[in-house]
Amino acid sequence: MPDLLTELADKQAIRDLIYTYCRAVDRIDVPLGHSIWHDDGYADYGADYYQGPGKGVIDTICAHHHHLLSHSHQVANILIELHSDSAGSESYVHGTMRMKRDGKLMHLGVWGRYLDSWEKRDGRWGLVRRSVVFDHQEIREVTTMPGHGLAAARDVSDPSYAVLRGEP
Amino acid sequence: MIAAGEVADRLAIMEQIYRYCRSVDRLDVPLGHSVFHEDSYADFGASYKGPGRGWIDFICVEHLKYLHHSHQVTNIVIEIDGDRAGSESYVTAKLRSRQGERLIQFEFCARYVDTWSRRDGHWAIDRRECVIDFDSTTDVTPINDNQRARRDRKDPSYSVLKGEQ
Repeated sequence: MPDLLTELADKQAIRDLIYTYCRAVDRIDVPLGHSIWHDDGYADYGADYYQGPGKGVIDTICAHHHHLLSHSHQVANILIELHSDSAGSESYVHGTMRMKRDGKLMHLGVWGRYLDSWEKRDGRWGLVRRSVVFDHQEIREVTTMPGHGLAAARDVSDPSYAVLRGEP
Repeated sequence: MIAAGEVADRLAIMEQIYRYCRSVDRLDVPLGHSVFHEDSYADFGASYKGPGRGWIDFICVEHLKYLHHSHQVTNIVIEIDGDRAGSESYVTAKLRSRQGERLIQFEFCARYVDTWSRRDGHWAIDRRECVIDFDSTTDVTPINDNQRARRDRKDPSYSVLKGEQ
């Protein structure tokens, strides 16, 4: 039985990796996305999208995201079951994506769950298998509002990079 | 400096809030019961007022009227006082139903306002109030069929959480 602090730290490490995945695909940061996977990880996003090496799904998604105007992956409910140096987790995700189609601004909404299997190797947690289950999805035309706040970027010029480094 | 015990209490309560969502989305009644103490009370306004575990029975049957649903919780604020606690969780619930040719999506932006106690080391709800801030219904166009999500123990999440790959 691991001590309480180790259990809390393990769960937090896994949660951080789940958030890092979202950050990587939204900022189109391929090396960051690769960092959450173990080298032999496997990703199953359904036969109609991607089944193959875990790091490869990052390459595929980031390439697809370049064809979209913007996207945001928000993870809510994260349940983690620890089994010493391995773990299983379920994370609810709500992904929204925007694209232009036939001159219209279309909004795609996806509600799904990341079902992840994790292993701690040499003290580092990494993803060994991810299956994505979609609960429902929609597509509709939307109208934008006047922007507010800082402009988002899908590269390292996004203001989040400096903030996370601790630069004011 | 916050003690590890208090961090663990917070996480235990958060996990119970997530298990509640999981139970009503997967229609897992025993899991839902484990989130409420036996003598708990649930107030969901006009739709239900009564025993906490009875709400789970009620909503898991009610959900069968829908094709699928997803309850996502964010912003969880927890105040702990020894073996008692209070929490507020924001929830966005989306439910789909078919009405003739139309596919209708119901959306609720609400908050779970919960009172907790720890009994024999187990945190569970004494009282839950569900406060709905706003709701809406819209016609939706699906993108494609989703074959893998299930509302029973065959959902792939059960084996993944057990540590099976």
